Formats: sequence, C-alpha cells, structure tokens
Amino acid sequence: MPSPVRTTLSHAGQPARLRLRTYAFIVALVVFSSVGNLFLSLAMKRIGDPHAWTAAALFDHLLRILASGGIWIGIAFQLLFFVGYLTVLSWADFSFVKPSLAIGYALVTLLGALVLGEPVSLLRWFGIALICSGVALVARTDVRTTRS
Amino acid sequence: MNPLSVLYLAVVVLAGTGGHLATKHALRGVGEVERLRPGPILHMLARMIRQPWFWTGIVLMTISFFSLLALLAREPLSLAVPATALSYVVGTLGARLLLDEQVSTTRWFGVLLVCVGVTLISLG
Repeated sequence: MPSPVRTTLSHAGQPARLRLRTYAFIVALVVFSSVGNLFLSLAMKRIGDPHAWTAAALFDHLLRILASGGIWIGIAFQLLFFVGYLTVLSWADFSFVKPSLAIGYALVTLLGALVLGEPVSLLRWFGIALICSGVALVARTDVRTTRS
Repeated sequence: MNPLSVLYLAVVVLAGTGGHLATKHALRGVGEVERLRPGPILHMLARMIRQPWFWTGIVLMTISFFSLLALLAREPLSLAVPATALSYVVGTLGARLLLDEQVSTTRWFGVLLVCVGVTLISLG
C-alpha cells in the first residue's frame, strides 16, 4: 500500500535554485551575525564598564561607545543580518529558517576552538553534534510549504 | 524560581517568538524577493515598513528584550537558556498554528534535536 502522501502544497517540486539560494542565505546570515557579535563583544570589552552611575559618567560612556569603530562595524553586520533575514523569510518558512540558523552555534564553537584555541567541553561537542543533525534534518524538508 | 521570574521568562519567549511570527506574516503582504539585486531588496524594505504587522513584530521583540533585561536583573544568566532553547519549539508550533506552515515529522524531529543541542551547549 502506498504511504499517504504528505501534501506540502508542492511548488512544482520546489526548484533546486530556491533551495540552494536558501542554504546560501542561511550560511551568510550565520556569518554576518557571528562576525557582528564578535566586533560588538571585542569593542565593548575594550570600553569596559562606565566609571560611575551618574548621568555625566553614563553620557561619557555612551560617547565612548559611539566613538568606537568596532561598534559601528558590529552594527553594520547586524543590519546586514536583519536585511538578509527579511529577504530569505520573504520566500522561506519561518519553521525552516529559525532552526537552520542554529548552525551558527557550531560555527562559533569551531572558530573559537580553531582560531582562538578555546577549550570545548565534551558536553558542548555533543550539543553541536545534535544541532548539526537537527539542522541536516530540517534542511531536507521543503523550504516553503505555503502559497506565496 | 519566583512567580515574577516565570512571568518574565514566559514574556521573553512568547513576545520574542510572536515578534518573529508577526514579521514573517508581514512579509506575506510584501511578496517574495525574486531577483537578488539591491533594487528589489530595497523595494521589499520600503513595502515592509508600511506593514502594520511589521511594527507589531518590532514592538513585541522590544517587549521581549526588556523582559529579558528584567529577568537577568533578578536571575542568573543561565536562566536565559530555557528561553533560547524553548523558542525553537514555540516558534515552530506558532508557525504551524498561526502561519499554516506544514511541519513534517522530519522537520519536527530536527527542531527537537536543535532544541536539546542548544540546551546542552549552554550547560557545557
């Protein structure tokens, strides 16, 4: 007996181009977001905490943040992420894009381990393996299941 | 964990997810970006900022952000973990129920693996 067909409002087999384009966007988004966070984190670590919790000190702190080049590079990447996120969501399912972006955890951990030589616990590697398996499963499903 | 923290946590997850779902819903009124050129992308953004659902989404995400700050002011950072992990399941459920996306068994299983994986990462 043929298995019941799970109708996902097939878009004439979802052209491979749409799928590849979606994959490319997910990878680019993950890179934008990680690089953006890296710049913001490095910049804020260099700036540190406000000297005091008075209005004048906080204003001075804000000026120092706004004067930092790293902050603006970080913001630019976050902006790039947001525009790209809206673009890919204009055709792809939210329930496809959202879990797929979790692959970013793997990227950040790998970069931390390989580039910065950060130690990674076994539990964390196990988490990464689960995330990669999960994203691989989601990636096999239809990119879009609703009519546009 | 005290009731107020539970409330903040619920608001972080629900408002955050709701914000993303509203954004996705707004994109339905905008249409698909078919050609990947600056022109069509800018056109999409221009139409997007005229969508009430987009601004609903922005407001919800802002509420979620401030609720996270309030949560972090009273609880350790590790409490943000269930918020992050739960948002994958809640987001998928919301996409199924509110946006009519078809979530196959394969996709559900993938989402659950991601959710558990994110939890483990935050613990390790």
